[in-house]
Amino acid sequence: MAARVSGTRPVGAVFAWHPHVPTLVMLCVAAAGLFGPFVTGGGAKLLEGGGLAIGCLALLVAALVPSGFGGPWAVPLATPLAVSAAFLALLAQRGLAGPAGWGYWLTLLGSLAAAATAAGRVSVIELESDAPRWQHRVQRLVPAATVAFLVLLAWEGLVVGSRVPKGIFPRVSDIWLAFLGTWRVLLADAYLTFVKEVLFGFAVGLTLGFLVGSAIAFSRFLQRGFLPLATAFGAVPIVGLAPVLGRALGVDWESKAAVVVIVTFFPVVLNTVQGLTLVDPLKLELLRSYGARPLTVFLKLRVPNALPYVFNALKVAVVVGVVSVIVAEFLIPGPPNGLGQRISLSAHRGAFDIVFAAILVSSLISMALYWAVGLLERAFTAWHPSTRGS
Amino acid sequence: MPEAPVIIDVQDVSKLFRVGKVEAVALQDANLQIHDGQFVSLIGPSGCGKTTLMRLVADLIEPTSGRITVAGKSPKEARAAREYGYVFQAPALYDWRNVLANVMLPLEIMGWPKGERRARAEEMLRLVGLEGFHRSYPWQLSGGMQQRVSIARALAFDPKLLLMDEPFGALDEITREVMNFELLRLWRQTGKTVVFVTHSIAEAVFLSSHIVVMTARPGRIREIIEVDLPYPRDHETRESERFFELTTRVREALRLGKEGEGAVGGAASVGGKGAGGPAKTLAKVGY
Repeated sequence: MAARVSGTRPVGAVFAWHPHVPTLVMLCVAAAGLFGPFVTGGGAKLLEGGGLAIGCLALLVAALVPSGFGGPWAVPLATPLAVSAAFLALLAQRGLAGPAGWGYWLTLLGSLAAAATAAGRVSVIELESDAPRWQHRVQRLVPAATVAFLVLLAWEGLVVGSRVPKGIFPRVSDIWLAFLGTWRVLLADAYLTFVKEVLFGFAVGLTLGFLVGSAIAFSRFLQRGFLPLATAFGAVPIVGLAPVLGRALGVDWESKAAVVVIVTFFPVVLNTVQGLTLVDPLKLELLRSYGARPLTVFLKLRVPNALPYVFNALKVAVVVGVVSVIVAEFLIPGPPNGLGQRISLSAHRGAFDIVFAAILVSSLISMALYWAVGLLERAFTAWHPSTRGS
Repeated sequence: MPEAPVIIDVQDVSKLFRVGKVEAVALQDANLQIHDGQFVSLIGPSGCGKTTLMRLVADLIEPTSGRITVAGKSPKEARAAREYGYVFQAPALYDWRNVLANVMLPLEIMGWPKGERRARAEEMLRLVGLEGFHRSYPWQLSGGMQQRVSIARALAFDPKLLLMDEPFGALDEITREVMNFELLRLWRQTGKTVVFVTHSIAEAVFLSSHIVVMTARPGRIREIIEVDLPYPRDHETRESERFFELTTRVREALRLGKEGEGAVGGAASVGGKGAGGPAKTLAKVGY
């Protein structure tokens, strides 16, 4: 059997003194909640619970599947199934008839505890090293995904339970509905923000930065004259320049791309200079002993040596670039497109569900960008100590 | 016996380094001739100028005064003509290239055709006993294996001369002995002239046909000792009485040098290849 379920530590070492205490506490909390009043002064208890009650039951089943039951499959599969079932059930619930009662809060608490317990059991399964890859993947993904879900569940449960109006703080399900209603617009915004502004600015900033960095690396004058300036410039909050750029380059996408160019340019210049000049002297002398020309030294030694440095700059620039471009869209009001504009305009209208949906889209794309840069880094600098382990 | 031609000729060479206002004499009035096919070790305490001498021959630095001829050319021309392969104290492999690509590096720079580079690099790796490691990266190899790669790289373009600057200094004693055997085998197989910098008396005696003993502050050549142990050398060589006598001799020369008695710039010539007879000082005192 490839996987062995260790049933002795359901949550973690903290509770190792008695493995079943957290499970029991969780059971009591959830049970009390399910039979308590969901709405203050309400009638039929369990039915009022709706989505939350169904979700809580699903999570309890997952958390209480016996370790030996169904071989190595049952626990890892029950957890994600129950988590998705609970999430969908809760999303389907449309508000409470009255103020939430103590039954509601205890059920919410019990659900969170059940989900945590189920995920904890997946993460303590001890896999043999020759177990199939999907089992390792499930073990890595389920706990992480469950924690994300716990945050969403707590968010949804708190907002529903305290009956905050949608115009002040939206539910997760409101955001989802807003996304379903506006995804075409949001994708068009994302195209403008990420492809035209971020990617374009990024490419220009990288190219310019590398060229200027190379020039600095080979010129004593530029090293003394320009480098200190570039270092100092790195501390300038460039986003503050956005209105100036807007005046100079127009309120369309060009001025926002210019912000990205600037925030990419400086870290790339500094790291390129470092990478091209901090070369092992022995490796330089080796090429000298071959009578190599300066261009050969540059291409065969300095550029490969600089790559890890440049990628470090890029990873910083991606994060800062996305933040800067969103803020720049706030600061340069132009045509009502772009995710920053969408956030700004929707916030003014009090449509916070759309604000969050736009934030969600930009986070996802930003993560994908960061991930893509990481992938390129691994492809180009697999030899470097920082990447060689993975 | 006819003498082999002189391949390295060092005449009255001095090298000064200036650090701030302080001048340090790294090498003073060095005179040395190395003949084709010899295995010459430079030995001496730290600061005696042995690495400096080697770097002068390789045109990695320039002498303050004096003249050096390498294979009949100035060091600069000899470097441009790729007359020597240099093995550094550290392997200095390029981390982003695998073993095969590291050995092919000099061939790429020298413009060899693609197919030939590969065949030649594979041949060199066979020579140093690393057939199975073409695709490995430097960080996946042990220190001894890395240094083998760097030797293969230095031999790849078939230079006349092999300049080795403490190549085994960072290795443990056991690996070092293995590498010594390998190096002797390579030397006899290829017939290169080897100049070898070392701190180890036993290593110098075991490997060399001639040992150049140097002294520090200022760096000078003190004495040249011919090692008359017959090749091929093996474990028994290390245990022979003659080996013992020769190590004692080198040790004494080093100690005398330290006391600074009579060490005035040495004019020296290393005897021709195959010159037999008892160990003798070819030249000790100049001027």
